[in-house]
Amino acid sequence: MDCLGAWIAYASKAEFDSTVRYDFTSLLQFTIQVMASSSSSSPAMETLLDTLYTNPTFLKAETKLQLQSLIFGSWGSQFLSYQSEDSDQFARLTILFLEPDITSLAVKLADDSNDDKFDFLLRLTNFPGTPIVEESISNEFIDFWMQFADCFIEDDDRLSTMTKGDKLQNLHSKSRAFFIKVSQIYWSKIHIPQELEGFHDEFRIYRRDVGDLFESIFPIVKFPLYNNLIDNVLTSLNGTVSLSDIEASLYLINAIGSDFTENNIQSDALESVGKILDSDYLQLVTKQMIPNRFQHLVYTTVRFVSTIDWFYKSEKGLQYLPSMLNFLFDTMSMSAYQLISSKAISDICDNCRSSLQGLLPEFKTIIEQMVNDYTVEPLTRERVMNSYASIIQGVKDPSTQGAYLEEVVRLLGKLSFEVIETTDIINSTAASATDGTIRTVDYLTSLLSSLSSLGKGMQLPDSADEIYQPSEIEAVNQYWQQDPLKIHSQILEIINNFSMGNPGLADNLGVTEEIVHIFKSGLTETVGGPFVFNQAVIVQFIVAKFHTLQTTNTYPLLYGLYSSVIKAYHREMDVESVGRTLQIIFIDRISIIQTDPDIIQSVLNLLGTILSTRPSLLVSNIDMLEKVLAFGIDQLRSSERFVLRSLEYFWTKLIYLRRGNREDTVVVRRLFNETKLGYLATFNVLKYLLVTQRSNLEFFTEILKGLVAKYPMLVKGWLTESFREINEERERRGEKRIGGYDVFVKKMMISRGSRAGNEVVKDFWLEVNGLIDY
Amino acid sequence: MANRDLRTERIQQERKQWRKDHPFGFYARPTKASDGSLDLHNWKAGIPGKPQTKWENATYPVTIAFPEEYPAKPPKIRFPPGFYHPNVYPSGTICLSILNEDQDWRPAISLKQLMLGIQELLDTPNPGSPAQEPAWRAFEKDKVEYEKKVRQQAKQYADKH
Repeated sequence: MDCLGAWIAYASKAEFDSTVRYDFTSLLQFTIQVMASSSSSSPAMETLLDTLYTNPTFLKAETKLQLQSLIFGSWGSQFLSYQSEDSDQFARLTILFLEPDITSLAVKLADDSNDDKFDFLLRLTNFPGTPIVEESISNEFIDFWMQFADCFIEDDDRLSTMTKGDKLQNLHSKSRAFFIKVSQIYWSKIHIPQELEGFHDEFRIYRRDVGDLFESIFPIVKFPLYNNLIDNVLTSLNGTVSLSDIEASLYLINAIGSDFTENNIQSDALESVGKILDSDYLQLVTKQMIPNRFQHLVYTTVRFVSTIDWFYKSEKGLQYLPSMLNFLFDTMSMSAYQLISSKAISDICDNCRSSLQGLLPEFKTIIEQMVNDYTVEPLTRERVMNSYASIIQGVKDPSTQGAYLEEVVRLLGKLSFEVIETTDIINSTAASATDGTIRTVDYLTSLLSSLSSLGKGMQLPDSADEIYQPSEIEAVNQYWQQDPLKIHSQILEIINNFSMGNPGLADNLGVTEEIVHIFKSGLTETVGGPFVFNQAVIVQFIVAKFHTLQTTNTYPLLYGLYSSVIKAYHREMDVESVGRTLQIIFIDRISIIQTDPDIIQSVLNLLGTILSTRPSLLVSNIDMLEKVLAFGIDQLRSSERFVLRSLEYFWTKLIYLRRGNREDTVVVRRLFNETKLGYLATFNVLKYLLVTQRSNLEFFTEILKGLVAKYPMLVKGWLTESFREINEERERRGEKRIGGYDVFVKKMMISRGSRAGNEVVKDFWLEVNGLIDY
Repeated sequence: MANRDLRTERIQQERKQWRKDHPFGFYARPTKASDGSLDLHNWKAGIPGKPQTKWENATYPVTIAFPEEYPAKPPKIRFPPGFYHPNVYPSGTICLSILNEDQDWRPAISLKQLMLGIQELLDTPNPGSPAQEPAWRAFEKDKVEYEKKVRQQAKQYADKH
């Protein structure tokens, strides 16, 4: 057998590499005989398996018939009755034998004379024992049945050609009945066994694969498959309750339902789900919950509640929202389900915010628990907070919104203040920090991120005109201008408490990140709101931070925040205040900034943002502009990709000045035309372009193209003069001069800054560096 | 036309091969239209974090889009937008040499190799090819913060049950 196995491997390769062909019929028929007659059939079966795996075409028609009669005959049946490794091997042999011609097998389903063969395959699939733990045959068959199902969906045309007249109809109706049988087998197989020690992961994947199989079967059996499962849940509830049956059904309902949407759902599926929720199922699950013990039933039910979004978006489903949410609130009290329950709550609230206002009091209780409990996962806390906020946002009346928000903001402020006051959190990021300190800082950061989640949830989901009437917009703006409950100042107090008072928190990256999120959540809002602050307040915060920071860790975040302020409020900002701010956050710190590429990059992005939104904020301040330009020229020497990308952004925004007014254009043109700026920029771009790595070439190329496009009259001179200077420098260093640059200059001029310039620059770069473009 | 056929044929092959032999914990399958038909050119897949790494206990979802020129060109594989990893662009596109036709992509590379390559990348980012600032910056400068964020993300995609 070993020898034959070797020949099979050899012949398969030889056939692939040459025109020679081998006939193994007699040897394979002999092997089949040995397999059927020997008491130990394993070696012969292994050889056949190898053959089918390596090259199934070695089995000619008569050999196939011989093997088929064995598999589906009495020899095959013996493998159904006892568990052994041979049975696994036999199942694999069956699958590999049938797989190459699976579409023909599908056609055979129409013919009643083949029923016994299909029954045999079903019995093999339903091999006794717990999957994974005791048997692996059903697992082997999952993929096979998926392929089989695909034939009915993907190969429909082929099936129609191969099956004529009534037979086709018969085939379709038999296929539906057949897959119902397959589904029944796997339904019982995925029941959670009592003992699963050591096989948890494998069994979980097995169930997931069965879920995939159900998804594949669904287009064939359609809603009866779904309704069968629902009926199963209802029957279990009405009769002797079998929780494991319910769990298995719900698991598969979740798998099938994941592809449903409100557009493709049928009304009987809506009815069916309604029936489950009309029963006391959710209360039953709640009663079953045991603290500190994970239960699949609870987990699967939470998944069920969260995957039927198409149901609660329907008119029928809306009425069940309170009971579903109350169930989820109950599960939130157990840590094992908090992550998934909070995700479910967040999904539901996102979709149905306007229908959930009646539940705000229940939410309030949950929020208080989540915020007070140290052990709750930060992600859970944030999700619930976000859900709470999105429902509050759905309340149109600003004073009701304010009342709910004030309570939660006050709670966050009180708690964070107490924790900061009573804990030593200085140096919390140092290696010497204790676990307790780290946990405290994590908790504090989570309180802050809860505040930012509140801000995110309060953002309008649509444009203000879609949500409010004009008179309502006025009322909202007026309310938040007056802010009778002082919510703005409470939020600012929390921010202040975190970012100014305690050195352990003030320089903390995570804390600053959350504060930036809090401010940013209001920046894009078009009407007043709890997180919409006057730009001067945010700028004041940024400036104050720069005055007090001990390290530069958070500089990029603050520059990013200032960029966002500029984007949102550039119309109401003035040159003087921007100049003053830039002086403090940039010029006064330029020596520190120049030591760190991350900070350089974020500064360049900030400057690029000003130039791309309202250039006059920078261009009208000529002193500041000169310093900025010197910085921009100096950084061209950088080899950091992110810095170069930001440099390209900065320089192209300056050169093209698309948002500039007439005065801005005059100033910038004068700088390029009448000072050395044009030459200096060209010289430095060229100098560092020639020595940069190829992947960074694009950044320099874009700047050069910009110069050629905007200053065509002068750029030729700048280029020629730059090459002269570069060559002199090279000579001084004992390097070879760059020849043929005049051709490059001409080509660049002809390109006029168009895309053609990319190739010109690339070819020249390759030439100068002695490289070939492969 | 010829290209499209080649693409579909190769995808079918990959699908078959994947079914026969795919690494434990991974999944990959074509997406489905509302009528149940398969869209072979767009797949959804899941990549489990390697055990004993900070990525463990979660399966990270990706989408796979096979371009018309596949296998001459690589499939486009994406994590959800905003995925936290130094080599994943803000859009979710993965920066990995075997996924780049100008670098190490070869038509013979299988789906399994791609999935394993991405799994490997999760815990061994390449700081030389940064694709997003937040994760790259934290990875380079503040490992504690980086690992904390990775663990948070793992909770978001937790798959333990």
